Amino acid sequence: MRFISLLLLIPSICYGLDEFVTKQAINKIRYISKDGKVTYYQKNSGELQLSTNYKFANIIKGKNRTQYLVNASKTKKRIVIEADDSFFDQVNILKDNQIYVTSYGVKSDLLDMGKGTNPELHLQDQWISFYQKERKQLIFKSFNPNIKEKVITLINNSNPFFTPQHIMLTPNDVLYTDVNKSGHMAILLYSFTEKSFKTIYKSKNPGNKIDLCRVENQLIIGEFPIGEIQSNSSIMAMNIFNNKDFKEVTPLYSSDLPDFGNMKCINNFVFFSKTLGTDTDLNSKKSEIAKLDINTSKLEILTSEKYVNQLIKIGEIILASFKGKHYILYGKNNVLTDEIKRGNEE
Amino acid sequence: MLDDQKEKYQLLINKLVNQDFDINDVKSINDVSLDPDYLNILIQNTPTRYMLLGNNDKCSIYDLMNTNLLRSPGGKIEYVVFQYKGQNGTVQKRLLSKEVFLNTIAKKQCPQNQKFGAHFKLKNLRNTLTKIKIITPDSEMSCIDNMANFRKDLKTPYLCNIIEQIRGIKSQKVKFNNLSKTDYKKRSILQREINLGESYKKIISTMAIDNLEGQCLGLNNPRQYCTDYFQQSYWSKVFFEQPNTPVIKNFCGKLSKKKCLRELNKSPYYCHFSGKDFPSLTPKPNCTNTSRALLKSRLFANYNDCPANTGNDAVTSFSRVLNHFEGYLETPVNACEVNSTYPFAKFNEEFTDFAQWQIQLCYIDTLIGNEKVCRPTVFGNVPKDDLSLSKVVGKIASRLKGYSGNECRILNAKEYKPSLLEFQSGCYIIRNEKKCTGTNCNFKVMLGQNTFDKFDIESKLSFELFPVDFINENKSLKNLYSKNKKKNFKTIKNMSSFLTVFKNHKKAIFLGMGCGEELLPSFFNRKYLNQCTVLPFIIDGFIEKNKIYSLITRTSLDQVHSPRIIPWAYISAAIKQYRSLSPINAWGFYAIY
Repeated sequence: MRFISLLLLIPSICYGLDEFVTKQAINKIRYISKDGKVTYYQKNSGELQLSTNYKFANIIKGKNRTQYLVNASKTKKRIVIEADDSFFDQVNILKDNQIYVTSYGVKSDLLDMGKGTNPELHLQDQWISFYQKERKQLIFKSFNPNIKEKVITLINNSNPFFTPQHIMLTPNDVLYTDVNKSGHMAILLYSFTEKSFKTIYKSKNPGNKIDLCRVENQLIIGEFPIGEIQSNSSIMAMNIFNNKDFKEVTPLYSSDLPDFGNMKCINNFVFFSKTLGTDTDLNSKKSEIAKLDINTSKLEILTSEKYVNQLIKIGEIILASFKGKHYILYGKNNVLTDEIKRGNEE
Repeated sequence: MLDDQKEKYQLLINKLVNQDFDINDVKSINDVSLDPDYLNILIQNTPTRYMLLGNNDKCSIYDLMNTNLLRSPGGKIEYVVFQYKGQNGTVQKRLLSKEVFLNTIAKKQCPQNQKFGAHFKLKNLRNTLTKIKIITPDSEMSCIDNMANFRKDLKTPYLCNIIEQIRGIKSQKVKFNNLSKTDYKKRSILQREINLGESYKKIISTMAIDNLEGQCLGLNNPRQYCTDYFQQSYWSKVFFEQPNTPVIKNFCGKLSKKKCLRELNKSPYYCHFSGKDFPSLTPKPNCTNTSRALLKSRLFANYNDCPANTGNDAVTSFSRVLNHFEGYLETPVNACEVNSTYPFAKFNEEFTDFAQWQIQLCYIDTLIGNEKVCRPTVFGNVPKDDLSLSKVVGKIASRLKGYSGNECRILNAKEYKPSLLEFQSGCYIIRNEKKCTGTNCNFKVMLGQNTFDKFDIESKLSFELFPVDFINENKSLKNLYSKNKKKNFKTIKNMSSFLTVFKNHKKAIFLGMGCGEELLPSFFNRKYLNQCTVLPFIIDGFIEKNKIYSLITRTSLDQVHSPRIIPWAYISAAIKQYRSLSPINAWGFYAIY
């Protein structure tokens, strides 16, 4: 019995990753800064609250049980919020939610940006983009009221549940993903001034997904098979500027196995879920989080849990979650330092 | 060994070839029997599976001979060596050509054989086949029973002969091509054989050939055949059994059945984007995994749905539960989203007085003091049901405009051609297909040449599939269904309780809610902390390997005929993640039975 108890105390994760611990219950937190000084959290009563330096403020008071998603860019000037006020009673993946923007870390006016999902802040938080599922349109809005809203309509009609990724390069040029009739996903460059688009990358197989992230002037492209397509996985870097017709692509990683991907980038690293083995009978994949160095292409496996599929990037922290806990893959957990000390002193 | 037999056989023939046979010398025709040495050689040259068909009596051996299944060392039998008691009482051995033997001796000993055989002659075959029911088993046990009957069936040698003839086409063609052009005799014999095989192929369907081939080849090992049969493709079985079933309509679309079957069996990736008329999550599972999942599936699915058009994911999943247990959907309708919304609306009509189906057309009734009247509606045509949009609009038009018909015809914008005479009168509902789901629909009504718009569409669909607070828990669909239809909802937290319910309740299915990021991690990339794409799902089967399980799962985004094989580890993680967001920390996975 004593032996069994001892085993249960051994952390489930190897490789010495720290658990991400927070002052509030983590399932209530929607955003937390690296130092833990800025926290956005929600309540069942429908409020989204901001906590800073032991002060708190109501940001939104929504309907009971409203679910919020909150994110900030590296600039940390603004914070973007997606509010779903019918999370439990209107289960519809094609539903558009309310998008808001407010200042980062302080209570200020809340800007209602309209309906949509998957919002992103761009260009030093001067722009916001989001996707309207009902209209299949990507909306780009500047916070400068003199600049008109810009819209791109997707052509996708092969996957009704597809949500595009979108990155603004300049106020006039955006990158986004779309799916063609045959199920090939592609990265398109759209110029608002020329009103034309150019395909800069197309998936090798129909049904492969493309993950995107930007690291300085490089676009990191991950191509991963979805479902049971037994094709390769790959990650490559593409210079966004000074790259005629986007023909220059630097391969960073490839695997014969179908990775989940779900890439997140930070500094010079790409984190993603890598498949280490498959079982075709059970249609399962043994997957762990891998860290890829963009400069050296060095790959490191960070977990040893068998089924680690998802990563989350909050500011400058990258987390992996499994078995109901979050573990830090990148960044330091300074969040509880003060709190623990205070608790001990008391 | 074979050469030895060939020699023995040849000796036997040579010895008797010049001896005359006079039928009047036979004391009793019933005493004529095949020579034991001759029969022994045939037995050793005939596949065991077919010898089993000759075990019954003398006549069954003659059937084998007649159908060419009984083989000599040289292949088809040309001569028959037999013995009989002569008039002088001594045992005589003689030889006759096969045709003569069958027409003189066998015909007299087994008069029914020849009549029976005539039904399988090429000219009668088409007619004969229409009367034969080829049974496809629905379980391994029934397969073994069928095989026992197949072995006893007098038709079996004749059917297997046809199969052998078809199977032989390829090798005969090779032989034919290798023959010298001057070898007219052999070439003409082979050509005849090839032609016969090709003619059979034209008469019998591919599915029937596949099925009969399996049965004929499995005669000597029915258990193995049945095991293999149930591991084989779902597609071959369903094509043979129910060629017009909705699953075929979904996967084949406009493809010919033959071509479609080939795609489904030979091109696993064909399934990823098939079924465009029934929009759902793509890529779908490949054909091999779809087949594996459907073979293990028990959910009633004799209809097509289209999750992307339903307009509410919980409706898609809950209506699958209703369709499985309740039979609201007596006849599936053509508009696929209605196969989900109609059962849901009917359940609401029956037990909540439409409290959770607030989709209605409302109008001001001038005849009763300008009162607002609302009629619950299903956006589609459900024959004979008052919820049907065609009836609701018909009734409102009748009330407000004196329209004399009972209902209006629903058309897509492309089908409505006002310049045609038929559209000059009557009532037409013209749907804007692109802006129409099962829960919200944009349409225009034409009464003759005039627009009729004296109504408003009200669409509010708000309900909880599982309870999220203790005050309103009885309003959740789970509790309403459990209470009103006396259904058990048992919480399932681990595989052992899943397996217990699954095995003890043959109709049980499992309903859950989880986060898409854990359930389908390839499709959903978590971007924010605590992000959860809520996906209701149904489980109705499992695959086990070394005590590790994957479950047959249909998320509310998957078409009803495209279940996915998902590891239990993903499913339990998805349920756990959803629970962490639930205000009452509820574990959302139940067995329903």
